[in-house]
Amino acid sequence: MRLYNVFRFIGLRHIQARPSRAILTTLGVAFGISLYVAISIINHSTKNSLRDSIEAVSGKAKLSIAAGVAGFAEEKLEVIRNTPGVKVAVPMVESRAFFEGATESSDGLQIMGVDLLQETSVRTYKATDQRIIDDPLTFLNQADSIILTKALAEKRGLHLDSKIKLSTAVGVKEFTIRGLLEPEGAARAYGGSLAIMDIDGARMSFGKENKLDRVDIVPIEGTALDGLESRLKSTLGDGFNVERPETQSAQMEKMLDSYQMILTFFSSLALLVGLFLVMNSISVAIAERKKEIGTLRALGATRFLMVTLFVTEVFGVGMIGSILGCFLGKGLAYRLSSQVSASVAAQFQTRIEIAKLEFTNEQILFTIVAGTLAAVLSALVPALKAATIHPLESMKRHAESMDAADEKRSQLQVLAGLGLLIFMSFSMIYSWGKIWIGIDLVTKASSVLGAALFGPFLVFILLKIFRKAGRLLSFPILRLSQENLMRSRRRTSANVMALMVGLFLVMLISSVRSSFHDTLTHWLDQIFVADIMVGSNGRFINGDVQPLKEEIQEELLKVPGIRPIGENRGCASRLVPIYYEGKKMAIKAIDHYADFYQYQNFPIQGADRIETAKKLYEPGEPKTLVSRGFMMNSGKKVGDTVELNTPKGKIAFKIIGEITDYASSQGVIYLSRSDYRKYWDDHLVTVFVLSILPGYTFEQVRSNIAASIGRKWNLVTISNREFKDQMQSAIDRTFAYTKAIEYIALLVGLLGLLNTLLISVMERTREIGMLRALGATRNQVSKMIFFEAILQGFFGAVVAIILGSYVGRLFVEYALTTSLGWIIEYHFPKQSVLTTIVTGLIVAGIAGFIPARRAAQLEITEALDYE
Amino acid sequence: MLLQVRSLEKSYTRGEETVNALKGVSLDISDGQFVSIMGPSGSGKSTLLHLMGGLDRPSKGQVILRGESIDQLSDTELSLFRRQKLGFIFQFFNLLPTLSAIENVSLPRLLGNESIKKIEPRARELLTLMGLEHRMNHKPDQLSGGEMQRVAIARALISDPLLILADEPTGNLDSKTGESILSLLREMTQKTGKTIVMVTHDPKAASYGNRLIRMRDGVLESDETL
Repeated sequence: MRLYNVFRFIGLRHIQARPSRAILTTLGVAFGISLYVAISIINHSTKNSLRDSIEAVSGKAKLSIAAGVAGFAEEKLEVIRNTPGVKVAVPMVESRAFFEGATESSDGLQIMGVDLLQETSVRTYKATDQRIIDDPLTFLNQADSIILTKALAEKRGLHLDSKIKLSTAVGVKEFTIRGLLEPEGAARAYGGSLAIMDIDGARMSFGKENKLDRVDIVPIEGTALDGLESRLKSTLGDGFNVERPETQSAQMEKMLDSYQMILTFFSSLALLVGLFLVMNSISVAIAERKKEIGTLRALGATRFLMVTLFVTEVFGVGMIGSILGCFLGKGLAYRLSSQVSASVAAQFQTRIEIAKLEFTNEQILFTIVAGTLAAVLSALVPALKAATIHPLESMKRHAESMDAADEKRSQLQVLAGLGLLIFMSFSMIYSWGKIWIGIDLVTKASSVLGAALFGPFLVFILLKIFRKAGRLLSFPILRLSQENLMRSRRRTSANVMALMVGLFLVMLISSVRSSFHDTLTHWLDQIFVADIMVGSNGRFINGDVQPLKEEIQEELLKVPGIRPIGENRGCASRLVPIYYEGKKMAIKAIDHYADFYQYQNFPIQGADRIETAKKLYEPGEPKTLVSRGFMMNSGKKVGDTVELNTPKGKIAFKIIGEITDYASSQGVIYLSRSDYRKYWDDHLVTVFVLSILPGYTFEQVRSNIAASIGRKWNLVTISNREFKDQMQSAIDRTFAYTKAIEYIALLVGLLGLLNTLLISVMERTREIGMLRALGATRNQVSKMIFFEAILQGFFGAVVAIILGSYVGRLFVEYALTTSLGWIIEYHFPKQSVLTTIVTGLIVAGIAGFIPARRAAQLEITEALDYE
Repeated sequence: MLLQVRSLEKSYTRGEETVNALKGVSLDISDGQFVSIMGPSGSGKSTLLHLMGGLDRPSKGQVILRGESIDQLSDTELSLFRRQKLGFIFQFFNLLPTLSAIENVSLPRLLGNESIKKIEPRARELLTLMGLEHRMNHKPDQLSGGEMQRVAIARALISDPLLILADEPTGNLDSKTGESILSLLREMTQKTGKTIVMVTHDPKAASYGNRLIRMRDGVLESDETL
């Protein structure tokens, strides 16, 4: 009853009396929660889709055998079938394929080449016309047959008997849709972006003659799986992965974990900004209601009741904000999911199609409870402060705005902020987060909390400097605004904090983005010396293209305008993923390029580039150049050997040097393509790199290729510039989702500043009345409040730049390496400096406009009488 | 004896200076008295009122209300003591702007464990007694200064307190309204037998009481029955 009374007669009345304030705070919570919800939905759904996909492809199989992207010899199928305990062993050939003319990864689909006569013993399919599955002979008799999922067909406006053109290893081929699959069984895999073909047809089309990519095994009932797994491993030898579906799933999920943690971190920051808004608005409201609190205390309200009062006020705001945040978050998840998928694909060279964005009732309930609780917790500190307000405040005519306790508290805040920043610096530099994940979370949270608490102190230092400089200016209103800011530390701190945290986040994200961008473009400028690249449909930049047959090289070199490469040299390269010690890395198998390239695409560290690179192609023991990421992950150094699983067993490669390469964050392994072909038996090519003869332009050569062999092989030719542009757009895509975080952080910052400024004006009503009584015009008062907002916006932005770039630097140089394996050089985000300041000024200007008008409209007598 | 004040001292620091606001004040107040405490600024009259009301704690000495010493009470116990046994009338009314007159009157009991339904009849009765039956649902900003102070008096009576403490209750009112408020307070002691301690610096206001205590420099200067 007591709680009910307090909420009904005091808390609720305040909300009703100042609905705009409650709305602003609720919106702040809602926006903060929405981003967190969106990222949670995406993370959860990505993992679910991944698990579903693996389960759908595995079907009834208890074990799957694979040997990497290049596949393995089909003779092994008999070996597998003859292994004791194997009931059924069903082969599959897999490939990524692209619709003709595709330039985007999203235009790709997964081809599953299966033996339809055996397929149903492992996987289930439900076609719109089930005869195609039950009696597959008709399907098999027609070589151009393909089955699509209904979802993919609908997405592209296709139906039964439609013809589709796919780029294959042997050029564009036309297929006829003979069946459509309902989203059940295997058709659930890859988010429905898949097609089923006969295994032989798939082999021919995708350059996998006499090869298999995968064999799924159903064991004889009663066979111990462990025993069968080890029998298969010993029979097949090194180079083969014999895995259970759940192991594959766990491995992929582990890979995603650290990436998703970064996403969660950024989204939590927006949530934290929202919670700051709650804390700030309650803090400022308490200062404004100091006398009322004193009265309530004098009338017999206990300290506990005072805490309860503010907590119940925030409870409502937190709960409504959380409910609203759930709805907004779901909408945001739809908008962001493709951006996050693109980012995951760029990070791990793995496309995970999110089949369905799931937000279960349990998750909704959890979000509402957790959001409300977080809001309540953030209000707890100011609420506890309210409980310390003395009953004697009721006896004063006007509550004092700043007393010694407040002053001391603000000093403690600065010290706490500094302490958090120091802790965060050491923790990042010495990777304390590796000891325990909790430290990692605290470290990341400390960066924002530290900046929020320490930032206002820096703003005061800047204001002091500005005051000295400002004395030279004869602009009294500006000076008055600045004096006001200096005088009320608590108020200024609250205002600055709200905006600064938002801008800090913008600067932090900019630092990461700009470091990636500058490091990668600089690296690309250094290594990419060819004039043109020739490949097939897909995206060149991440190697997500349809591989081509190597024979094309001979024909390419005959195209007029192509510079000859010399005898025993090649122009092909192959980029494939490989698992090494459970980490997904990349193999770059490169032909011995023409002499005129002078090995410029080998950025070798600490050794003579030309001499070291040459060794890669010398006959004798197999050699490799590895990236720093690889060295870090494997603990190897130059001179060691690295054993790689190949379809021909484990092969030891000697590390002859360290290269810089960003094709994979976990590690890149450079091999000569002749070694790669030898051990992986993979003759496909990801891309050909070529140079143009003097006297020819790129456009001429591109048309010559198109006119001669382009159509036959479905070749796509891009220039050096276009390739670099692809890199630029790939980086933009990788970070596209961060824009949403920045906008939301800024929006919440804007709401926070608007809220605290409005409260400030109310708190200063008498002071404004006094100024007006002394002769200040309405315009002057309005300008004063507006300038205060602008000054806070400007200095808040400057401090956000200083702290954001400092934390950004630590984040880039240490946290990214620890969490994701990226070894990126820090680059100061110069272009963001101006943007941040302008954004700070605009946000402050918008937030300052309404309070400035309100201050100007105050009537002198009413203002002087204001309680 | 309703209230006993024993050797009460209060000192506090202002900057580097120690101010002795009360220097060992002792006095007894019986039921039904209307005590006016008068003195110039800095005489210690307000400090004495604060200590009697448990709003502040003494440096030395005791405040005993109906045999119970309040200086040993915890903060929560002190809050309950104020809520149940005291009524306050402030100079600046201290009404909550978001509550209506009747809700403001009910506030001390709302802070307890009672429903508005249960409190309302008594609140109405008190407001009627104050001549505000037509203003029950008005918010403070719709009331005049005198009306606001009447609401505050009704609020002070809602818990049926042992003692009412009034801090310059007419200090923020014009003389005519002030006089009507003082008459009301005097009438209240006469009709209900309530005990009032009122701090004022206005001799005319002080004359409405039946006992006058003068203070100067933290000590009692005189104590006379009117």
